[in-house]
Amino acid sequence: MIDLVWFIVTIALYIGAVELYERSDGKLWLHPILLPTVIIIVALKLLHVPFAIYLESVRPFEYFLELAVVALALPIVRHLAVVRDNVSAVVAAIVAGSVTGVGCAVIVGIVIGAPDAMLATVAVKSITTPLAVTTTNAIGGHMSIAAAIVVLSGIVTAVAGPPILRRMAFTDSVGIGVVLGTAGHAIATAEAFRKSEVIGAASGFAMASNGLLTALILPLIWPYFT
Amino acid sequence: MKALIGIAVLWGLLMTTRYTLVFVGFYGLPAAIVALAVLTVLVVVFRTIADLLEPGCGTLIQYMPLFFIPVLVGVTVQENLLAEQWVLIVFTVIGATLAGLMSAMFAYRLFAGRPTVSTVHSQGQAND
Repeated sequence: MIDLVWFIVTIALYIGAVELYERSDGKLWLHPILLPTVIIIVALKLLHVPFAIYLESVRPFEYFLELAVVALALPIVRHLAVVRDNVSAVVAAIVAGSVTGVGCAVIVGIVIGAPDAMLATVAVKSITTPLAVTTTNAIGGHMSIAAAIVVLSGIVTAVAGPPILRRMAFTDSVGIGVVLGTAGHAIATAEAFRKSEVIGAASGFAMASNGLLTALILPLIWPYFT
Repeated sequence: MKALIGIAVLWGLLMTTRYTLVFVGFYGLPAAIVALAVLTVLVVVFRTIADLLEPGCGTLIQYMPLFFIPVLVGVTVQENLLAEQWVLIVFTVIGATLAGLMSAMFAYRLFAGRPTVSTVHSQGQAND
């Protein structure tokens, strides 16, 4: 019975959060990922429910998450047309943004003596949450912390990215999309679509292609770094 | 019904990929990501596959945030690690993210061979 309760509670909270998020015109602190997560964490604490019981209850989501990862193939192909006019700049931006973001995090981790599992966790910071979760699991990181880092990075990018780019007089719409998608994944891509279809499509392409390549390459090269 | 067919096809592809990876001994690669790469190539080569899969993929992507709420809730079992590694986590979220953003912007500028689109500038200001 408990199993069914937590499964239903999670779905109900998500539906409620989506409704609130849309009514608030996209206020980031009401994001449909964040709000239910915080409420469930507080509820589990207050009711003294172990995480293992909650996890058992929502196990089906794990299988759907894997299927959703595979489903990302369609947006990747759909957004190819937007970026093909400036392929070299798009590829350079994605590679530079991804390598710099991950490189900075991993180097700081090494400097402060973080354990290997934490390095594997921050190494996936530049890819979208479903891919980050799958990839960090493959290289020995902490799935939940990786997911939290990716979501929070997306919020930072969505909030701080557009003003920074404007201040730097960076006005190319495909470029803005690629930069936001590379640094801020799905959440920043949602913000990008609110600005324009072109920015959103470029952001979606950057998010998906960066995620796919990193997720394929990282598990193969990571053993040589640790 | 179309969505269910699409999801069933994705499930078939995922399972085939998983067993193929095990068969060839590539245990380190996540099956979902290899299946994503395979499907991307298939859709580029055979565009009609996209029509078949669109309803199923659309449904899954629409509800994707729901699927990783449990993963995020799992942060509760990592409280000690969070307390120990908060400096790295905060730096990764803010410092490394902004460094990546700036780096991507400079790289794009360096390689972009066409004039900027100034109309987007004013549109962005209006939205922020």
